[in-house]
Amino acid sequence: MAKVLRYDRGIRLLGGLLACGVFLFLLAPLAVLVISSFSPTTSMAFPPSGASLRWYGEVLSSPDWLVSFQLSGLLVLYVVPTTVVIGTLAAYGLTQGDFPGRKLIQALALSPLMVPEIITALGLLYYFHGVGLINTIPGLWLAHSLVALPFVVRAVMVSAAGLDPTPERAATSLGASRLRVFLTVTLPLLRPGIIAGAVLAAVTSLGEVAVSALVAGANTTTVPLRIFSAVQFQLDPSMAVVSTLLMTASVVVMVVADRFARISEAL
Amino acid sequence: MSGAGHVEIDDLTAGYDGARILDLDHLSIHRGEFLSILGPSGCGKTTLLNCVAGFVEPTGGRIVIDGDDVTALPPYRRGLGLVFQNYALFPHMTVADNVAYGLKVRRLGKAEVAERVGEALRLVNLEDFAGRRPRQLSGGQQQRVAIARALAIRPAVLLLDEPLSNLDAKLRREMRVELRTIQRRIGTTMVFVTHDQEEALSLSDRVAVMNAGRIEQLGTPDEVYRRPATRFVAQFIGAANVLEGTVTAAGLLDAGGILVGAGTLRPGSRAVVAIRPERIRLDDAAAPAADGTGAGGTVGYRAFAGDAWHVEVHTASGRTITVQVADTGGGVADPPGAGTAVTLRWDPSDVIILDRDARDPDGDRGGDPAQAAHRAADRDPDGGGP
Repeated sequence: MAKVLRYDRGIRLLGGLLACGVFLFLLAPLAVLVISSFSPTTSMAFPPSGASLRWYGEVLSSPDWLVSFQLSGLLVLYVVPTTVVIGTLAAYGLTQGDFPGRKLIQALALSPLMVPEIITALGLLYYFHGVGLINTIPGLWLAHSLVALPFVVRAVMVSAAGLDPTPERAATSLGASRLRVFLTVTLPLLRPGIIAGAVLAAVTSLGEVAVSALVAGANTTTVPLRIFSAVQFQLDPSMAVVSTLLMTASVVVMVVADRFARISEAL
Repeated sequence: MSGAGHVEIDDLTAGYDGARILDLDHLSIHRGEFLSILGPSGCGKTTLLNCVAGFVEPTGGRIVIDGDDVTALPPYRRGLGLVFQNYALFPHMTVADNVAYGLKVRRLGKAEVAERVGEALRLVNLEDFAGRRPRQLSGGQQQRVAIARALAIRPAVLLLDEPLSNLDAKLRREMRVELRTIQRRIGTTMVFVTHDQEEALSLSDRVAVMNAGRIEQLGTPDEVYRRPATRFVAQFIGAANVLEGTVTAAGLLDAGGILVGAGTLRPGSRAVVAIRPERIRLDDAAAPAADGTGAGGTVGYRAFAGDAWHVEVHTASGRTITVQVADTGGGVADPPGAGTAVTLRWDPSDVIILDRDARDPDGDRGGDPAQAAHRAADRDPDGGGP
């Protein structure tokens, strides 16, 4: 018995070490960035020789960066509602509906996930040129929505596929019309999927590079694009600062969404 | 029961692509009655309920409630209450909001909503739980909320789809009593779908036994139990032993060596009879049969079930007869163990005649008309119940 127990403990230790290794591998680059962002010198050398908020001040007082932060923030505010509304309706229809071509449309709705992003970007580049949407906020809004939509559809579909039809039937039998049932019963039941989809859409929009690079321009440089162009000619800790801020924004979005979902569930 | 014609269902059929799930001639539900629809899974009982509720579109026939043909009406315009096996409460609303849902849909004033929610929750003894969320309640409490929610809109009929099946045995018995009490108090017509014969018998004013999309028998619980109309009903409710054979010159039914005295059977005809397990006695193998009926056999298996022993006896002809021996507490009436030779006995009055052969030209015409009506159904090959 004791022997079995020790064997078990060994395996558990090994598993724990393995998990730690994987997490270290995943988090190390991010940790390096965060630590570098507090560097007092112009060098990106790791580890930094001291700690200061010098580069935070520099970034936050730079009008270029501020414009980019505003633009990225604005895009999230546009992209999330757009993709959540379209994605939720699409996912509900695709999982609960019964109509010819359902599978085909489902594949179509998820297809941007399967296509390399640079191909989508190229398509959008040609298309947006024709209609004059290059280097515009609406252009980026549409482009980000296109890239983010499949994530929302996917996330809501998971919730919608496991949807219990009986609460909807109960509401119907109580006299509620189709629309009323959807708004008062179905949507609240789909909330976990919708929130997950919204988080994915926000993070996708915040970090999007490939498509943005082709459809954005001098007046519409999002934060990731500015990082991308900045690292090409000067590598200083301000990149690390921006990355840390962007990462913080993503984490805040996720934590807030998670808390929001949990709290409303527990109430 | 006055007020016949409360719910009238005629020639109702439903199914997909030619497969018929439901094929109902006629069903009339009386106002204020508690009607159970009892049958095995897949017999069409839930489809029938969903047709009445409006969630399944029938392929033919009509449903009339209080004189209005509702067959083509969408489910939200039917004004019926629905209770589900899994409660189907709205998890994001409080108990009070759940109950208020149908009232708010009807745009009732705030004061009236509050009053009727309170009334409905009092009916199910949950007025102290108004502010809780469904997940904070036990299964039985959740089902009571679901009942309150359905009754708050004062439905013409309350439809219950296996509402007790998710509860544990003790709670199920308590809820049975409570459900019946509520029904007696408010007098709402209730249609209760179940596969549990005990539930159906103990709760209902009438029981409709369904099989393969048809109603095999409709009657009071004691009628359905004591005078099953078909082989299916006899076997599904109370798991009767069904014996089939030819009537001997002495007027006894010879079912493969088992002789059954069943009164007015005509010699030479074929007949089907049923005997309830609890109506059969186990005697010593040596005891002579006074009237020549009964059968010899050996005990194959016995099991103690608390209130009774379940015994299987194999006869010489290879048939298995199930016998139920009530426990006496002292153990004096315990059946003998496996391998013991016994004689099976029963009173002629406990033999239920399911079918006298219609091929017999002089067949008994004086029998129970219900049984005559069900002869055709009885010869269906699906007669093998559990």
